[in-house]
Amino acid sequence: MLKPDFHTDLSQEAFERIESYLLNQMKESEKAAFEADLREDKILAEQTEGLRTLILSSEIHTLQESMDRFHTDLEGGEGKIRKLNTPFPLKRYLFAAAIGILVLIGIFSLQNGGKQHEKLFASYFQADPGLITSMSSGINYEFNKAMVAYKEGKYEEAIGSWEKLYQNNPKNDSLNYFLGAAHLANAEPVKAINYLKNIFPIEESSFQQESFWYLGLAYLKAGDLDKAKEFLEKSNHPEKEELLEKLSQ
Amino acid sequence: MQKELTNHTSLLGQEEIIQAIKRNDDLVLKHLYQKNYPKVEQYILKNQGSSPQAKDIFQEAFLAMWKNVKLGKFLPKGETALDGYLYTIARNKWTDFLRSSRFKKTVSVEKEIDLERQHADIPEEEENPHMKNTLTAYSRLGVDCRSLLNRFYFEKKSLKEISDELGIGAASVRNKKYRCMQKLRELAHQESNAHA
Repeated sequence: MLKPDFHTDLSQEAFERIESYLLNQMKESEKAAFEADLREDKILAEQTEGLRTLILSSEIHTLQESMDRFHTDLEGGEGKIRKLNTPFPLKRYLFAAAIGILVLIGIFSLQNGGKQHEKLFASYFQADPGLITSMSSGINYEFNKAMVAYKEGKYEEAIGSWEKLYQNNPKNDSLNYFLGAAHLANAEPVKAINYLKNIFPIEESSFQQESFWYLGLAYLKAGDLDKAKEFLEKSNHPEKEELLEKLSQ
Repeated sequence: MQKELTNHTSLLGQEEIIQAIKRNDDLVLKHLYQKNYPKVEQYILKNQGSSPQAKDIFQEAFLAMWKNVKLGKFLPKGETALDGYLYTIARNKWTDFLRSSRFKKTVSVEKEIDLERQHADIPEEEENPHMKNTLTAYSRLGVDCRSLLNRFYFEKKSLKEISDELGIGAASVRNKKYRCMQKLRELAHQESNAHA
């Protein structure tokens, strides 16, 4: 290994030539000439090695600071690592009003009759509350914009936006999950199933448990009770046992 | 919109992910870090380690991954390959630590642990013996110089962009960068002599 040189005279012009080589900014002809000089000139070779090490150190130093920042963010306010497989770094958030909505849907459904499994669906289904969106970051602007629409109950608008994103990102678990959730909330269980079933093969997806529950409910709404039971069994939802019991009656 | 999406590793192909790492894309690095850390931590906690040890090991592995991608020694075929690679490096580093005398001295009862190293296409790390000195030298450099060099070498900003950010002429930025690197060379020389 070449010994890096840090002390021989190095003019600004010579420094910038070496730097341009190290940063891969030279044209092919310049690069060839520089490499020929490197073979002939030991001092130049050692100076180049010295600058290469210093530039790398500068980057490593900053990367280490960045890693500490990522780590602190990861630990979050709860002092606990959040296991998230989503590329959309957004916090999950529960609406306090969810229970109220559940009751309202249940009453509405009972008033309007319908098949038994439809009633059960209506009793147990509550739309996923969605994710907190951060519009200021500029990242995933389209995704977040659709999330705002979803949370306002504008499911078709959200679906339209997410489906455009989905075309280029069919394996993204956040998109599959929320497209499923939105279709289910929009009373389209078959479409919901097509997206939700893409989640559970992703073992580390943070949406896996929710996807089991919603798949169970989607099959329930679609009238396929065997499939509904299969997915409800896999879920760890607190109301799972109660619903399964009602389904077996 | 496309630009927004390319900032996400899970949406990137092989070439894009390599380029994003090479240009130190903060969002991509952050995503890779935060996505992969929990799995490594879980492994280390299960194998007699602590959270601070998991953090150290994972950061060493992350740095090794970054260096290897940068030097073209590792060409991940998409994000999944990169995740597996990071996990394997971290696991190997932890295995090496468990085998080390430092660990054995502190543990009286040896539990059964899987000490098999994984070899799957992991290039050996070349230790640069001078790096410790140059990193110390860099940390001794003044804040202004570190900030300028960080913008240029890590964030890959142009002289024009830096000049706009700092509100000084591009020629001044260029001269200042040279002076900062000269200062850094001097500090590195001192460190090398002190530890020769």
